[in-house]
Amino acid sequence: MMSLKEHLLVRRLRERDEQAFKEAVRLYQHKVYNLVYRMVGNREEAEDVAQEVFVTVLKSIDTFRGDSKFSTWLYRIAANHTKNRMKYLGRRAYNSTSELTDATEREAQGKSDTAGFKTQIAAPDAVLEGLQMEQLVQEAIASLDEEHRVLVVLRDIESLSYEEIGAITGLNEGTVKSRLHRARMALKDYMAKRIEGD
Amino acid sequence: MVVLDHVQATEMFSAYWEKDLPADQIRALEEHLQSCVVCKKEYQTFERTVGALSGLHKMAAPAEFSDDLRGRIYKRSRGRFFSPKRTGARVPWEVISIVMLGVILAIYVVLTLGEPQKLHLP
Ligand SMILES: [Zn+2]
Repeated sequence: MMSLKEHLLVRRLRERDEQAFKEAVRLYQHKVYNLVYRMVGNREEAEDVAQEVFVTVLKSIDTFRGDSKFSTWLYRIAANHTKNRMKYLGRRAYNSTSELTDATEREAQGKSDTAGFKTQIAAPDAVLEGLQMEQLVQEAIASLDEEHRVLVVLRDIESLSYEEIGAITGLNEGTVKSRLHRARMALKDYMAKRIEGD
Repeated sequence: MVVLDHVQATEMFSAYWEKDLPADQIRALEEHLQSCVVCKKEYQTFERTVGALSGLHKMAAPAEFSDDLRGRIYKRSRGRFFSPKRTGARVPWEVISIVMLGVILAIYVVLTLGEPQKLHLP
């Protein structure tokens, strides 16, 4: 159920109050962006989809009946938009090399800024290893179809409860659990292949 | 005592990882993992993979996200989507109606008190 704060926010959104919209964006933009990004694996695409999510929120706020939390409703819109975009893009794996290199460089730079000049030269193994693992995991996620991908992201990345995932996806708990298990096993197989292949 | 085969054991990986298994099944799986190198290795990779998912960085939306979004909405609605900006704080209808009643009452009082005086004038 909605909290009083959410209730007030929704009421102001219905009145097309721009300040309320700014507030909603401020509160949820990062969550929505992270969810979309982990599913599509591409920054530009993620930003575009995340923006469309908020546009849809505005356009359809009158249809929100308040029988779930506002954030759950928002996640449902985000999940559906992302799945549709992925179908539209023909399930292309959005993990271009440039995208990953870009992230690696930014990360290494961020660490060296705080740790000083030496670490920049030393290219810390632990950081690099962590990044390689992160890249590998993102690639593994991209190998799943959208129905499995969304469950992995909601449960294992966003740490949502099964109840909330059920409300977002419209699936019952048993189905979520069994599909999630399939998805995790597929990820594990992908990782095993990649780790042993290297 | 339950004895598991490979398939049964791997089917339990998710529930075991989430600590969502009854005690006897935990025991059965742990015994299998101790005696079966294949499943043990599989579970280690499983654990590492699922563990890495929760360890992924939280990606933040770009700094210009909010402004870009506002621009998108204004462009599509030609600036007509949001209700016009209200100057200052919003005054609730209740307050407006009470003030209006007060004004009407004041006019009424002035008019009714004013009338008799006029009559007494020569
Ligand atoms: Zn086994």
